[in-house]
Amino acid sequence: MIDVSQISQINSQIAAHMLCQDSERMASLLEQMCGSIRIPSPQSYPSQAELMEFFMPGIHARQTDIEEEFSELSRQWKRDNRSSSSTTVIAMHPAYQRIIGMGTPALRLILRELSGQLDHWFWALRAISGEDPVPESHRGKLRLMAADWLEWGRRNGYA
Amino acid sequence: MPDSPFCDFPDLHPNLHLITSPPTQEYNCIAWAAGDSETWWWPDEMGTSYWPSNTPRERTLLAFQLAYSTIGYVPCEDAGREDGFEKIALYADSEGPTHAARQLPDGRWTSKLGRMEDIEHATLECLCNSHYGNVIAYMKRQVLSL
Repeated sequence: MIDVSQISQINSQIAAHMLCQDSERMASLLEQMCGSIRIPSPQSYPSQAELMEFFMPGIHARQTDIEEEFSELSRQWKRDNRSSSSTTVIAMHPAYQRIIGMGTPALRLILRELSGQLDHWFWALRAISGEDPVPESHRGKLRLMAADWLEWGRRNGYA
Repeated sequence: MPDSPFCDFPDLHPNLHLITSPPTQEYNCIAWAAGDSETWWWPDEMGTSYWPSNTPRERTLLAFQLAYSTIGYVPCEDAGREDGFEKIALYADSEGPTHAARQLPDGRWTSKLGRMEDIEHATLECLCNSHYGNVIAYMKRQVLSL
């Protein structure tokens, strides 16, 4: 049995996850949470379907915002760094840093981009994930590095 | 062409260069000068790029000279063509090296422009007056005869 304060707590958790998760993960989480609520009176609390209906537009809107922001930042970054050979200069570009600042939601977008076109996303992937699946012998070989990260993404549910 | 990639290089007039490859992200100028067209060389702190082992990962002339010394280059005085040798020129801005160009057998130069194309250029100066800064050092190595 749960009371109103617990529902409010669950809503806060959902809201927090909305800010940092993509729509698929959010939907799965929401389903999981709603499924675990034992509602004492079906008439006084929303059903799982109603909760989903209530939250999903916000989740989708948030995801669309993130994708649009990522596309615009990515475009700026590519345009401004086309003639630079410095990995550090490329990674320190303000647009790239803002993408890193987007945190976990950017991982799926970066990996999706990387699967279509090679580019210097490896610094951001390391910075956001805190991991490094690239062996020493692959350093600087972008095709191999991309394959290592895409495999990491598959293993961790981001690609 | 305000958004042409070549507008990053105001002195790179069309009659001074020839584009010799499509754009690619797979290697950069530092690798291209070293004769490597499969790797991105840079001494980045994050360690995402290739840099010769036992060479400092820092953006200093010494670190770049040490990197090229691992493939047989030694410092030299100038850009003049010398029979039996190939040369590279290192560019730098106020923060350190930015670019490297390799001399071709006819005395012209070849450069990879960041993530853009490879070009052949008649002079080293045509890439100056840009964020590459100026040429600050030269290196050479003996050409191996087959």
